[in-house]
Amino acid sequence: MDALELVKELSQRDIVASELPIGLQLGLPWLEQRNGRLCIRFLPHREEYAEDRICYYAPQFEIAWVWPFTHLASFRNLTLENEVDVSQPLCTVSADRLLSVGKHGMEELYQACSKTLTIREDTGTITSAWVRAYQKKYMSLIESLDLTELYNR
Amino acid sequence: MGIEFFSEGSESLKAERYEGLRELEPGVSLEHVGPRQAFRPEQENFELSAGTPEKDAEHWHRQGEAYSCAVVCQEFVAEQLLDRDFSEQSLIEFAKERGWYDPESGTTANDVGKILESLGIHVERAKDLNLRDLAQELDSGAKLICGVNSAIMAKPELAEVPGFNINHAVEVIGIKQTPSDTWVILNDPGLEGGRGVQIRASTFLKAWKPGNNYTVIARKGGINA
Repeated sequence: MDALELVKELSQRDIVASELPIGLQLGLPWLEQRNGRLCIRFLPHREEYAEDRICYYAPQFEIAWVWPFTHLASFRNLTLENEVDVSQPLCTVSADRLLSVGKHGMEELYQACSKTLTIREDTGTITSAWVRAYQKKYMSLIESLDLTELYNR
Repeated sequence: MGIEFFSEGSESLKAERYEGLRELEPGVSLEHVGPRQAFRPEQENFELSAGTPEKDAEHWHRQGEAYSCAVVCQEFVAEQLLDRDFSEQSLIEFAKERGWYDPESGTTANDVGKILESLGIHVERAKDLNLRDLAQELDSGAKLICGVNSAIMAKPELAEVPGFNINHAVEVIGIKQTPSDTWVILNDPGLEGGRGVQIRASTFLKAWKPGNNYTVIARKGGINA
């Protein structure tokens, strides 16, 4: 299963088109197990390009689907649960860094995501170790891009 | 009207005319993107065009709120089709009351066009269009709001980074083809100097692609017209 294609397909779902404003990006896919079932989770947030940098703002929603991703696992409007300050970016990354470290790292992350999903698809199950390996790669990428404040939730 | 536009799988692409081009995607070969320029009709000597960019650009203004791009694009379209003035603030209040706009996050894709529908304008929401489709719609008198990624519009190389989705609405007011390139003319409410701004078609295609070329097509003649 191609994770990039999956994410693109999820971003076109009616729930996204009807509930998430177009100003928000889904962001990076987080894989986790909830009660033994594989879920893919996103933290939709605003990204803005200014002065050759991408500014990342606080997540305003959380949306997750449960394998095989035809059904929602959760949908939360985070602004109704806590004060979310979207007046200032949480973090910024230069376009050059995103095009070098970021591009390479994200390609690897999506490949790892594809691999994990393919194992789930082919074997009918997924071990915690595989999911943890993906999560480790995810954490490593967000740390290398200084996006921990945005994604480590 | 016989315009030969660059588009996915376009049979009319004449890449051999353009040396040093690189393929952006199957069937789309254009040179690297340069800076955006203002559309100045008096300086243009273009061969073929679609739309009425000079007239439609008169309605542009910069969006007043961080997330109001879709509301402001609908304001442009409403003024163009109904020949009436609307204010951004009054449309924001109207949309907020109906749940079509949130000042903290903006407008959902499905809600883009609802202000226009409430004004009696016929609206269609489409995906997978190409430049030729846009040109045909413009020439039929339709007005077009497209979902794009603003970072890719500003820096097209970012299209190579996986995961970008659309995050901005712009009005496409014209398409023109010159001997050297194809250009898309926009009313971009998020850009200082976004009145009738023209960008290379290759850049526009990259920025439009993440949302599967999402477009809101508005025409006169809705149920209340």
